[in-house]
Amino acid sequence: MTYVHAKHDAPTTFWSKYIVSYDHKVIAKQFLWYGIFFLGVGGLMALLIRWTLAFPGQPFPVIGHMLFPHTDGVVPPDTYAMLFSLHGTIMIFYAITPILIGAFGNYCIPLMIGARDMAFPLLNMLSFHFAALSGLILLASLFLPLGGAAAGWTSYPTLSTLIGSPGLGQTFWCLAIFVLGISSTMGAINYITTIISFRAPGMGYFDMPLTIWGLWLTAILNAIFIPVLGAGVLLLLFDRLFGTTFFLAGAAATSGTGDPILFQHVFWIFGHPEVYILILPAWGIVSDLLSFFARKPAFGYKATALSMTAVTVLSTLVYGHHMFTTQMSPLLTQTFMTLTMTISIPSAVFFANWLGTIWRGSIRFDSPMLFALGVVFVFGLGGLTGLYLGTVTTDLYLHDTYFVVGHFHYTMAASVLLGGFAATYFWFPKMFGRMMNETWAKVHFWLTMIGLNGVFFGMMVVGWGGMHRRLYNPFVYEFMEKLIPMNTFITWSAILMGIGQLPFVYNFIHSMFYGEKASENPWQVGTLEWTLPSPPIHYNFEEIPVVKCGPHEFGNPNLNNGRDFQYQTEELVKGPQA
Amino acid sequence: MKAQTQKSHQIALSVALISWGMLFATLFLGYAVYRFQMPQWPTAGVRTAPLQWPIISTILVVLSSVSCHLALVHYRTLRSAPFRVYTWISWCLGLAFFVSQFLFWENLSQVGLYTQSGIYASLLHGMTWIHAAHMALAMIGLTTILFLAYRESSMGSRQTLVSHLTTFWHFLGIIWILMFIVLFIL
Repeated sequence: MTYVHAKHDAPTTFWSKYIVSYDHKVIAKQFLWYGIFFLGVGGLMALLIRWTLAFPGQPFPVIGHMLFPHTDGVVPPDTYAMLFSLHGTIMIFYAITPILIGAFGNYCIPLMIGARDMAFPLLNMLSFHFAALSGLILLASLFLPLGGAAAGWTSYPTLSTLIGSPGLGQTFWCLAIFVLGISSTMGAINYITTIISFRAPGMGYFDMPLTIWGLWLTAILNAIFIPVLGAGVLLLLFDRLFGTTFFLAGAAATSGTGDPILFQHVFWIFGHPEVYILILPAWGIVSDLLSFFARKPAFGYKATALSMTAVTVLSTLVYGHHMFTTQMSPLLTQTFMTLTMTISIPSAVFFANWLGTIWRGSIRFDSPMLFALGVVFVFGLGGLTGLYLGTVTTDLYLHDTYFVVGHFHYTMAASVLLGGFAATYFWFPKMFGRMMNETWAKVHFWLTMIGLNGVFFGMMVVGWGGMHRRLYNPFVYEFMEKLIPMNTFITWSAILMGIGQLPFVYNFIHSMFYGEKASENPWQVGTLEWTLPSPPIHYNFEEIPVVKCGPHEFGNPNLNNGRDFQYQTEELVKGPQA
Repeated sequence: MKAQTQKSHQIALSVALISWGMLFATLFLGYAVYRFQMPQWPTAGVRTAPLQWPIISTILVVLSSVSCHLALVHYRTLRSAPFRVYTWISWCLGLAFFVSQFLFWENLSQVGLYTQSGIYASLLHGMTWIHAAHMALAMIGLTTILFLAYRESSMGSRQTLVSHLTTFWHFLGIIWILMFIVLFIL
């Protein structure tokens, strides 16, 4: 049985339409702008980090003197620690999460399952407002006397306790993450309930687009594991504010020790599923886009959905591979290593399905497809390099080197970023009613691809060479001096990648106002959102659609209506003998 | 339609309770790690927490759960007078629980178990604070229901709210009982 929202009039004032809107489409755009803003902030931080590593002691060009007047434009060491800590935090929690889960989750779920809105529109609105509050707290921490958090995005104690991080920056970090956790949990509750209760009549779980599968599994992981991090940061907050000793040890704990390693356990019980929380929506989106633009049904649709589910389950059992160097018992390290390797099996299944989908397809190389193919490439690289880190023997050497940084940037940053861009180019016409410029989109794609591969592959090379992460100036060590040219190359690649985003920003803003008007279905795709006008009306569907076939009905030889696809609302055309 | 609304609310409540359950499960996991790492519990030279106020808190929690349940039963049968009485009783018991918690924290300080007094005291304070914060949320919900109880027109129309708040109240009661057993008995 399907439950539907009653229709009511669209809001008319600026306040009700854009600030306290209950409409999932508006909230999706709020999350999109929020994510793009933080992507810019996190990206600028990345450039500052890279500049410091390539040109140590030299002032950052153009804005360096304004940002660091006391050091003549040179990034100081303490600020460097703050930059890499907040770069990680911002990119993971404030850029990728809001764009892929907040924006496209909100936008796509009701439209793709044939619902008029989320199950709980008020909760949805509050979810964004909590995220906004969290973002404000984090940004405010930059202006504190001792600056923002500087204990890494993982905030391991004792570095993140008052002993390692005096001042309020780390306290603000804990508070911001806790508030953001509330926002994410609200969103997860809404997504899970909406997908279970609000699917259009006729839409079984295996009739859902894979995008929805990815978002659904992500929401399940979010609901289960965000509170684990919440508990950890709460206890860390207590240590900082009230003098408890949960994570203090050694000389810092004058009246009984806590256990700093416990925080690492708690962090990674959340943190490893978090990798999949970020990447599952991208996998789902890519799985759909490959089919849409290869003009073929998704190869092994059920196997892909079930593989994603298997990865989701397994992701909860492997967190220990982040902690091989914490004197874990060999029995445990081997167990975690084996479980980690097991994830390769379902991952390989859907990766093979992706290749099967595009094999001998009539591929259309439009911008969403280019970015989707980019995900296939970078995820392949990221996944394969993960094997070295999941294996105890190689991880002991590579732990905390730039190889780790390169690996997780390939999986979490490159895959998810390219997936986010693919989604943006694909759904922009539906969101704003106009097309983005294809030429600029392709310029954006190639600059980004060349830049990011230069950065992230270069990171793995210097990491393999022994360069550790988080060092302000690693070249004070003689054996690392030979890595200076490679670091310079990485930085120029990062600058290229940064410049490569300018066409996107221009294209996005220009197309919103002056782009070519989008038709109802510019990509000729059969999922439910493409049966609606661009942009859709308030409350999406005048009549709730009835679903009669799957989301990837392409190239049916029995079709005789001039199209090579079928809408999900159409009865599957069968041959005369059927 | 009404049954379907209730179904989606039930799904949402179940997910929310799983989330809250994971938060408290993490705290219990932390407790277990600390406890099993220590050769002696509480650590040498640290006094055991006095039991008097935790026992009173436990009694209050159990009684408030019973009265909340009775309030819900009367709400479902649209009997407004007993519903109000039992909601008031639940509210008062909730408030009494808070008083007992404040007295417990006061008591801890009196026996030298300050927040800074090592991991045993940290756990006593930290876990009860987090539980109390959730109880405060539940009290806000209960206060809302109390207001609604005096609006005759709303009688019976807020089944989902009343029923879910009762479930949340029971959930926090169960968490408290687990905390009582783990922190004070074992």
